[in-house]
Amino acid sequence: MELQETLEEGYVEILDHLRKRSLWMLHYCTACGAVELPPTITSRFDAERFGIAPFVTSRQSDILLVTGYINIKTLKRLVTVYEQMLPPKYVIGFGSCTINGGIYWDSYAVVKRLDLYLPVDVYIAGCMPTPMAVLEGFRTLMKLIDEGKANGWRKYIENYDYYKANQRKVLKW
Amino acid sequence: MVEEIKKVIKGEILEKSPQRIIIKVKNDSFSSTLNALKGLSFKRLTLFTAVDFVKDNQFELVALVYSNENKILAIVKTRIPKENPEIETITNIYPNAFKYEVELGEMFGIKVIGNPDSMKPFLLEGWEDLPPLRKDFDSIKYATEHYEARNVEVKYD
Amino acid sequence: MIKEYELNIGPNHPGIHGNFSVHLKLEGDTIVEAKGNSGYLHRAFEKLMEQRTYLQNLALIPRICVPEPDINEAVYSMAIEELMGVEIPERAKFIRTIVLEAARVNALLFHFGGTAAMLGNYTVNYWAVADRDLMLDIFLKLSGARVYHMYIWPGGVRRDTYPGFEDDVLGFVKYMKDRLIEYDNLFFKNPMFMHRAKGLAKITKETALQMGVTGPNLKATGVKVDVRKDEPYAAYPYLDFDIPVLDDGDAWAREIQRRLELELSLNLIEQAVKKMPKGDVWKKMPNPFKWVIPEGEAYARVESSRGEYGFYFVSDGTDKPYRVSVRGVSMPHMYPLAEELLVGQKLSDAPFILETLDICPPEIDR
Repeated sequence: MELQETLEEGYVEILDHLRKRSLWMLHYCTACGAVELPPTITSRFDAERFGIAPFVTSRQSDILLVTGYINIKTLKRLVTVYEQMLPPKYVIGFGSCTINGGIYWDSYAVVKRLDLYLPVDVYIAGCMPTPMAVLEGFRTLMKLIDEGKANGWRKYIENYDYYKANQRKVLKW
Repeated sequence: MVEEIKKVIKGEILEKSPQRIIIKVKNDSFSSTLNALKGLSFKRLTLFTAVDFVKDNQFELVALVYSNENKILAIVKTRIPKENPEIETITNIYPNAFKYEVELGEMFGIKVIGNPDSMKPFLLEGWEDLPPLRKDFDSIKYATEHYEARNVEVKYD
Repeated sequence: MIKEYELNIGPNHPGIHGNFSVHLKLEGDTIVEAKGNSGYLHRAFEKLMEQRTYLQNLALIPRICVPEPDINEAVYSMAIEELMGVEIPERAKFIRTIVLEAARVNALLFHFGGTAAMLGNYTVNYWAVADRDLMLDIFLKLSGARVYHMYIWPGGVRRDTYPGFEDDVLGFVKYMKDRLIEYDNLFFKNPMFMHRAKGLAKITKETALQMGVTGPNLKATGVKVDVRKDEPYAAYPYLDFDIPVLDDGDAWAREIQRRLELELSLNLIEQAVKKMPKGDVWKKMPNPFKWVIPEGEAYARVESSRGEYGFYFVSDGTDKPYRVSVRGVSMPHMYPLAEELLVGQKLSDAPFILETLDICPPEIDR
């Protein structure tokens, strides 16, 4: 019995270690942060050397990069897209607007905190964060995955009611 | 150009600068004014919007029309009352006014007669409050009531 | 058998510039009806601006249009200067011209990258993004930020250029001019591009004029309308240039028109750098924290990379704007132009057509 547990733990550790080197990012440009993504993923900053590449469908992606402010209309699609993704999946909040509303704190159309609606693993601060900051965010995420700490998707399943209640409050579902 | 306009249009005409003419008309002659201006080479509708003058309890409709030939921008204005605001569509004169009119309905609650999409949602989804660009709608209050903020203690050293 | 079916392109679609969706009705793979769906980027700029002071707004407005943020600052400053009756110093005019034209080059490069990617030519995309970064580095040195500069402000520009700015900019212009030949060979003279784009989604002069289309989309149909010539702002009256026009009005003409504009922009930057005088860069104005703008209204406009961009500005004499209405260039390009252009086209061409119109969704949503 003990042996099996040890083997399972080791298996998960190996998986996490491998997983962090192949992260596919969903190509969903939710907001203005998307303008710094082409420099990040093309030749100059080249995120692909970390194994990070953009991908077009939600079913095969690992990272949901929320690039900036989240409008109510977008949030609805964002939640749908997040739920379509297969675990393990990670959410990165990009820019100050995902943290506390940023410059749009007083806008009637923009929600202020992303982590009320989706479990965020890493935040990248700034408006707008530079490609260097984005890469640093990716590196942090990789480190968290390696250590087994990027468990946002597990939290989402465990606290499903909490997230759904928050979503319902603003989306009127 | 101003003389030509004065011949056709009844209203207050002000030449602000060589390239800007401000025309104030009564609201029943708004579309006929635009129609006449279109005949006078003002063929492009640049912007169609409204301003909420809350003190006068009126909306001011503003249409900016531009003449490519004479390089003049005419700002056509009219005032309508704030209770049950209704205007006639101008899509038959300027086809690109369609979405501007939908926006008027959504952002100010101005009903556009003759526009099939008027008062239908365009930018907002499931909006139930006052039309947001009205001055009596308080965005800060709405945002604080509906969206939870992060409680952070800010320390200034 | 299904005769007609519906399909949503977007909001999550790599072929769309930004976050908006198009609802299509298809018969086979021919589009019979197209309806745009905007609002995913609505942040209520017009409302937010009414709540903030003039200086706070300066930080807010560049965020309206992402690929080319400087036009917002320029329009905002021009509207305020018109209301206050301020004439900005000569040097500031030239710096503004350089910044605006460089921003146009950036936006156009970004656009070419997107268009080429729509046709599967990803090399151009990689090149364009990398070349754009060279200018962003100069912006970083000049203003302290890569994307949102907040460099142009009422009364001139925020601070003088750094030593060596002229050489940096001229170096970039020289590099881009050489580079354009390579872009020509790889993309603009590419048979694949020619075959796909020639005759595709043709706009006639009459439709374009009737629908309020501006910018390269209009110039590609043979109408010579450009704010830089018609109502010169910044240092354009001092520069010697001619607006290129083409006649075809199809997707090919629109792209080639943009390529010609890119060349024109490079020439303008070169001229402006060489003619730039010495002197002040900011007309002394009262304390920026307490700006009070006299009552009145103004419409300021500039030529962006997509067309005429303007602010209709109403001030009631307080420290906050009473109403600002943004004239997004892409509004008439999407509604109704794109909706009508897409009808009758093949599904595989749809993202490409939308891309050649250079629609910027944040401008529609605001």
